[in-house]
Amino acid sequence: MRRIHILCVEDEPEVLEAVVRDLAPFEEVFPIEATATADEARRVVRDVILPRGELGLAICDHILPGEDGVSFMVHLHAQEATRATRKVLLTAQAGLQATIVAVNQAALSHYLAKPWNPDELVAVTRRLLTDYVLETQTNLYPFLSLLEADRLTERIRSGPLPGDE
Amino acid sequence: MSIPIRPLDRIREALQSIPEAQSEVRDFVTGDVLLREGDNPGTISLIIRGEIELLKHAEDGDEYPLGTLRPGQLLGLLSLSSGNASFFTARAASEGTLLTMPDDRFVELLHNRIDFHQVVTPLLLGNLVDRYRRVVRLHLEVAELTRDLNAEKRQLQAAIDELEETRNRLVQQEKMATLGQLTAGIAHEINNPIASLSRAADLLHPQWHKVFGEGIERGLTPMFRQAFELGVTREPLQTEIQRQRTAELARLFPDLPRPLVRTLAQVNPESFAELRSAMQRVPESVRLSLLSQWAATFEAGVLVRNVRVAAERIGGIVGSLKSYSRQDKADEDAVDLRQGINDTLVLFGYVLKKFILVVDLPELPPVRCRPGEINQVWTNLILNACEAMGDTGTLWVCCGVRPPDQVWVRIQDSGPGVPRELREKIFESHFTTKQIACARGSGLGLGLAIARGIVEKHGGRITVSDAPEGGAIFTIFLPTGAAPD
Amino acid sequence: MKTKTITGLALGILGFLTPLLFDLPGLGFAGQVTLGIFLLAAAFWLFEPVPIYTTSMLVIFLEVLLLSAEGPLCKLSQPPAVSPRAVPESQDFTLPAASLVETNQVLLRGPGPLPGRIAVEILDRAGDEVRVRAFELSTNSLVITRPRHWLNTYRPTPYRDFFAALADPIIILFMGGCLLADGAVKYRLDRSLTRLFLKPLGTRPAFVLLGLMGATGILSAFMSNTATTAMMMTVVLPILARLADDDPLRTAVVLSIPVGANIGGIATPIGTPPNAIALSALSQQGLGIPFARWVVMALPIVLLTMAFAWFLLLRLYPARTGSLTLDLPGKFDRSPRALGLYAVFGATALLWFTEKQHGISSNIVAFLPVVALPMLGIVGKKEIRGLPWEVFWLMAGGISLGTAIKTTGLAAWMVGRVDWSSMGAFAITAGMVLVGFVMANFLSHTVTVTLLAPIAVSVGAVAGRATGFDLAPTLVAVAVASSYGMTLPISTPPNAIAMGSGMLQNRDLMKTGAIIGAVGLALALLCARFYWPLFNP
Repeated sequence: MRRIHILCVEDEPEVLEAVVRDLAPFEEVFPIEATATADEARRVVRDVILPRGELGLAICDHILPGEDGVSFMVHLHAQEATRATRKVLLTAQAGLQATIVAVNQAALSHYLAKPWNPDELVAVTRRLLTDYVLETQTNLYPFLSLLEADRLTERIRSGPLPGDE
Repeated sequence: MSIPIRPLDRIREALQSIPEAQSEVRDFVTGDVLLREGDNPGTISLIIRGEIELLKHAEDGDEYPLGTLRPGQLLGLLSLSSGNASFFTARAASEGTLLTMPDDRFVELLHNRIDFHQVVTPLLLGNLVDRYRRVVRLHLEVAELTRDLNAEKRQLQAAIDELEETRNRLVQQEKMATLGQLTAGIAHEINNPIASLSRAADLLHPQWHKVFGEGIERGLTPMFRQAFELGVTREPLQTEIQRQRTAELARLFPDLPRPLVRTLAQVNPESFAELRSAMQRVPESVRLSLLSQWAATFEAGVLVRNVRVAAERIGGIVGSLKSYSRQDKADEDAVDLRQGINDTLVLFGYVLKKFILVVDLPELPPVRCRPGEINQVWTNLILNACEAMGDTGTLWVCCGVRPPDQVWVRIQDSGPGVPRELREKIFESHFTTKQIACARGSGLGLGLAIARGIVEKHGGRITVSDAPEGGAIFTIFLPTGAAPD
Repeated sequence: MKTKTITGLALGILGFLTPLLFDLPGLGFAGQVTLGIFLLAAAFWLFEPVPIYTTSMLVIFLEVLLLSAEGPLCKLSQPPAVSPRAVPESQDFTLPAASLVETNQVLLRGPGPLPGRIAVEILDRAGDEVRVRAFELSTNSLVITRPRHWLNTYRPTPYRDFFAALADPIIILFMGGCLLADGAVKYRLDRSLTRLFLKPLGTRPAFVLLGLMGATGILSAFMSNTATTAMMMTVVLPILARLADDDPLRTAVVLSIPVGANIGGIATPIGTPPNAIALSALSQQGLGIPFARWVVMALPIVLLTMAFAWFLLLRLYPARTGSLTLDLPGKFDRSPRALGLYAVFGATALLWFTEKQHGISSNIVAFLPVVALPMLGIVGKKEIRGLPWEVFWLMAGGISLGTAIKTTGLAAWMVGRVDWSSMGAFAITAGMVLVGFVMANFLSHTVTVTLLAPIAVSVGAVAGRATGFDLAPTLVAVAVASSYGMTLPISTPPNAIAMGSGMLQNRDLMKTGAIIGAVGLALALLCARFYWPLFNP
C-alpha cells in the first residue's frame, strides 16, 4: 500500500524528537521521517518516501546548516511528485523576505513560530493532511479516525460509491 | 631722491605768516570731538601736537577704531578731495594743538601762492605716503587674519567631526548599556526558572530510581531501572543512523507500532539484545504491553535528559548574554579575549548556522581592556563577514600571540573581499556597502568605524587584507599590558 | 492484458460457440443460441474481461440481434417456402418431397409467426416431388420446403420484450428505493436515524456494538448496503482513535458495519439487488411476493444471524475499554424539503407494508417516490443521474436472459437433461443454495442470483410438480444465501470499504465472514425447508 508520509526537517536533535513525539499519533496512518538537514531531506524524499508512497506534509525549520528550509520547500514545490505536499515552516526566526519567498514560490501552507503549542501543531497537521488527502486520495476511509472526520464524511457522502452488490 | 619736508614748527610759522590763509591755532584736550561722522568740516587742519583717533560708527552702535592721526598729518583732507561728508569721527586721544584753515582758502592758496604751495605740497605728499603705507599694512593684516580664520575653521570642523563620532559611539555604548541592563534583568529573571528546571531534572532522575526501587515490586524492576537509565544517558542519534535502525527493527518486528519501533531504535544494540532476551522469557500475551511500558520508561528517561540538556543550554545562553554585555564590568580588566569571542559566536549562532565555522582559539595571555567594548568589535566584524558572504561560505576565527607584547585575532570570511581602493574608506563613518539599513548590522556604516575606534582606544590597531583564496581578513592587534588611557 | 481477462474472453467466446457446433438433441437452434449467450455471460461475469454491467448490455444486444423477431438473424434466415403447383384438372398439388414432415404433414406459412401444420394425403411420389391432396392447400399457400428450420419451432420474441427488461417493475421498485435512499443521504435522515437509534443504548461497548449493527441493518434494509456502510464508517471510524491501538474492540466495531449491512440487506425486497432479482424471477412465474410478506419471511433469519454475529464479535474481540461514546453531532433537518422527504418516505414504507390491505403492488408503490421526490424538488437532476444505473443494467441483463431462456425452450431442455427423480427435491434446493453461496463469495451477488435464478425457474417450471421441488423457497434461499457470501474483501462492496479503512486485518474479516456465512447458510436452508414453504400461495 502506498502510504502518505510526514517529513520533519530540524537540525536540533531534541527539537526534532519533540516534533516527532507530538506527531506520533498520526504515525498509525502516516509514517514520519525525520531529517536534520535539507540535503538529507532531499535524499530521504527521493530514496525512501517516493518509492514507498507520497509526501503529504513537510514541516521544516528555516535556519538549517547548509541549504535553508525555505529553499528546500521551493525545491519540493518545483517537483511534480511533491507539488501537492503541504508545507509548514516551523521556525524561531525567518525574515520577512524568506517568508515571502516561501509563500510565493513554495506555496507555504502554514507558519508556526517556535516555541510551538503542541495542540496547535497537531491541529495544523490534521487540517493540512485533510486538505492533502481530499485533494489527492479517492479512498478516504483510512483517514477518518485521524483527520478531520467532518470534511472527509462530507466528501464521502457526496462522492460516488464503489461497485455493485 | 626725496622731497624735503620742513620741520613742523617751520611749517606752522610759514602758514601763519600768510594772512590770506586765515589760519588759526586751536588747542584741544582729550575727548574733544574734532570732527563728527556725517558732517562736512569745511576746514582742513594740520596736527601740530597730540594724537587724534579716527572712529567709525557701526550700525549696532559700536565704534571701530580706524587709525590714529599724529603731528604732521592732516585732518579733513579726504572730505576736501572728495567734497563728501566725513565718514568717520575724529576724537582727541590726548591734549594737543591744531592749525586750522578753511577749505576754500587752502585750495585757492595752493593754486595761487607759490610759497604756500612749496610749504604744503611736501606735507600732502608725506600724508599720502603715510596713508599708503597704512593701507599696505592693513592688507597684510587682513591676509594674516584670513589665514588664521581658515585655520580656525578647519580646527572647528575637525572638532565637530570628532564630536559626532563621539556622539555615535556614545549612542552605541548607550545601546550596549541598555542591552546590558536588559540582559542583566532578563538573566536574573530567567535564572530562577532555569535553576528550578535543571534542579527538577536532576532530582527526577534519582526520584525515578526510588520509585522503582521501593515502590512497585514486580520482579521486573531492574529492567525498568535500566530502561530509565538508558534514556537519561542516551545521546540523540544521527537521523541517518536512526532511520537505518528503525527500518531494520521494523523489518524484524513488523507487528510493532512505528512510534514504538522508533523509540526502540534509539536503544543501543547491546542493551536491545538484552531486552530482547528478557522479553523472550515473559509470556507472549503480556509481551507487547510490557515492551511498550519499557519503551515508555525509556522515553521518560529521554525526556528527563532533554529537560536537563535544554536547561543547561538556556543557562549557557544567558551566561553568554551576561558576559557578552558585561554590564557588571564597565571598567578595564585583564580578560581572556577568547571568552568574549565565544560568547559572540554563541549569541549570533542563528546567523552563523548557514556557514561553515572554523574556530581555532589557542590560549592567550590576558588583555587589559573593557570587555563590553571589545565584544562589540567581534560582533561588528563577524556580522560584517556574514553579511559579505551572503548565503553560504566559511568563517575562520583564530587568534595568537605576537611577541613581545601583542595578541592578534583574525576574522576571515570567504566573501568577495575588500577592493584595494576601499581599504581605508571602509573604516570611515558612514561608509556602507549595504543597500538598506537592516536589523543585523547598524547599516549606518558605523560598524567598522566603531570597531576601529574601540581598538585604537585600547592602543591597538585593525588591518584588512585579502585572503589568497578570496575573501577578506580582518586582523586586530591589541597590546597585552597596556591599559587604555 | 491480464491472464484473467484473456481467460474470460476465450472462455466466453468458446462458451458462445460450443452449443452451436454440436447438435444438441431436443434443443432447437434458438435454444442453442441462448445457451451460448448464457455461457458467454457466465464466463464474462465470472472473469470480468469487461465490467459486469457491460456484459448485461451485451446479453441484451445479442438477444435482440439473434433471437428477436426483428433481429437480423430471424429476418435473414426465414425458411424457404414455395407455393404448391396445382395438378391440372384435379384437386391435387405437387410439392417438393423435402417439405414433408413426419411422412404426411407439411408446414404452411400463415399469418402468425409460427407456421401451421397440416396433414396431407400423399398420392404419389415422383423423384423429388410428391403429389398430395389437402383441402387447406391452394396455389396461394406457402409451403415451407425446409421443415427442420429452427424458425419453424421457435417463435421469436419481439425485441421490445428484451429492451423492456430495463423498465421491469422490479427495477422500478429498486429505483424507488434508491431515490428514497439518495434523499435520505441528502437530508441526513440516515445520520439522524442512526443517532436516534444509538442514543438510548448508552456507552457500554457491547450495547454500542449492538446499536451499530442494528442501525446499519435497518438502514441497509432500505438503502443500498454500500451506501449504508459508507455512512456508518464515517460515524464509527472517527471514534476509533479514542480506543487504544491494541483494543480488540476496534476490530469488532469496524467489522460490525459490513456484517450489519450484509445481513440487513436481506430484510426487504429492495435491501439488495439479489432479492429483487429473485423476486423478479418469481413474478415472471406468477409467484410474486408482496413487500410485507418478504419482510415477514426474511426477518427471523435476519434477526437470528444478527444476534449470532453480535455474540461472535463480542466473543472474538472482547472490549478492553469499559465505555465507548459515539458522538453524532447535528439534529433532524426541519427544512420544508426534508419534511417532504420524511412524508414521502413514510408514505411509501407504509404502502409497502400494507400491500395486503390495499392490494396495490409494491412495484407500483415504488413509483411514488420516483415521481414525488423530483416533483417536490427534494431530489434533483444530480440524484437522478447518480442512480446506480449500472446495477439497473446488470439486473436488466439478468431479467432478459431469463426471458430468453424461457422462450427458447432452453429451460425445459436443461431440466430434461437431469434425472431429477434420482435425488430428493430438497437436495436440489440445497445444491443450488450452496452453489449460490460459494459463487457469491467470489462474484457479485447480483450476478450470482442472475445466473442461478433462470436455472431454478427452469427446474421449478418443468420438474417442479413432479418432484416436489419448491421454487419460491428455493429462489428466496438462493438470494438470502448470496447475501451471506461475505468471506472475502472482494465478496461485497461493504467488505471492500471496511478493508479499505486500513483498520482491519484480512484474517479477521475472513474468519468472521466465514463463520457468520456458514451459520446464515444453514439457517437459510432450514428456512427453505420448514419456514418459507408456509408462505406458498
